[in-house]
Amino acid sequence: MVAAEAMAATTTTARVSDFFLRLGDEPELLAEHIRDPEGTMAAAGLSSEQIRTVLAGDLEGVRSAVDEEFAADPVRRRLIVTPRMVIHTPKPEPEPEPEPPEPPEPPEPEPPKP
Amino acid sequence: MADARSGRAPRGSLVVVGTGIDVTTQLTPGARAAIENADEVLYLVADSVAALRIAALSPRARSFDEFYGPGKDRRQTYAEIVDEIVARVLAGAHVCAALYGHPGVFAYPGHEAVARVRTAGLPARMLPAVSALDCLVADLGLDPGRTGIQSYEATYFFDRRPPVDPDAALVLWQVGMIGEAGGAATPAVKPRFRLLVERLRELYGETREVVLYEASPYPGAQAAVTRLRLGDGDLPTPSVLATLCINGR
Repeated sequence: MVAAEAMAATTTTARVSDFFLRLGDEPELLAEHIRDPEGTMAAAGLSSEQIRTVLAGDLEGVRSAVDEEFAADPVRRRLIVTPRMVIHTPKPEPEPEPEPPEPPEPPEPEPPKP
Repeated sequence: MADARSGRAPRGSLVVVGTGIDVTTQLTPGARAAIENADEVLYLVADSVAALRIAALSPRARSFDEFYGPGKDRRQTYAEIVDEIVARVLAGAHVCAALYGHPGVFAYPGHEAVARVRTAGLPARMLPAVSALDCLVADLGLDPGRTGIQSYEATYFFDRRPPVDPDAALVLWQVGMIGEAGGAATPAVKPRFRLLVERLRELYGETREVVLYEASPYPGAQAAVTRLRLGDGDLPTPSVLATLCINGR
């Protein structure tokens, strides 16, 4: 077991979502993470399983890990998001204008009197 | 909100920003400053980390989620969101509306709110941001300048049948929600998606490759990419956030 894994294997309450937030707020950490993702996550106290999940790079795997963290925290639970997709809602067709009443037929001209 | 120095009535303002797809690495400095400095932040995002980051940047942040409801007409939801933004600005608040991705791409409320605030004579602007299309271009290596690009919402494309250039790239947004009006994907998406693929097969032929793409909102995680041929018999059901892409040739 490498040193980073040994450190991360200890019981931890560190969260992947907290680490992601730090990446947004700490440019030096982000730069270091790009260079050494395993080392930065271990230093942040993430478990070896959490590190494996992120390093695997599988979108659904990371999403599940993050969702579990939110579900387990009563404060964060209210921040769980359901994606709200744009719905294609065409404008309703305008009601057709009522057709104007037919003008009365002009009276037939009387035939010329002989 | 009250302007104590001038004694004048407070003048509200609006900035509409996007969070990008990955809020940790794609939130621009301008968008971040707008969120941090607003009197009120109203947001709509697609993942929980984005909600957490906005809440961390502004304790005054509030989600638009309350305006959505099962079966509720989406036009009504959008109208209420716009009304809420405009009402807060007219009340004198400096408001930031934060929407995921680019705030002007597939996001009617942002454009409408900016227009209405400007009509009311108050300052409003929209800041550009990273959209799902930007991520797709990077992840799939697609250059819109090479063949041109056609971009449609999937339901619109299926209903309206616009003319298609089969040599140009085609991007269909929200294929995982095709035909849905209620805001949630139902099992009916699968047969509708099959009909969409049949339509594409008529246009492009059955050997053309199609990509189902979903950008990753997490740093380090890869985009979800599924490649198939239009002639494939076994079609997957696209995820709610999936975008369909056919590259140009």
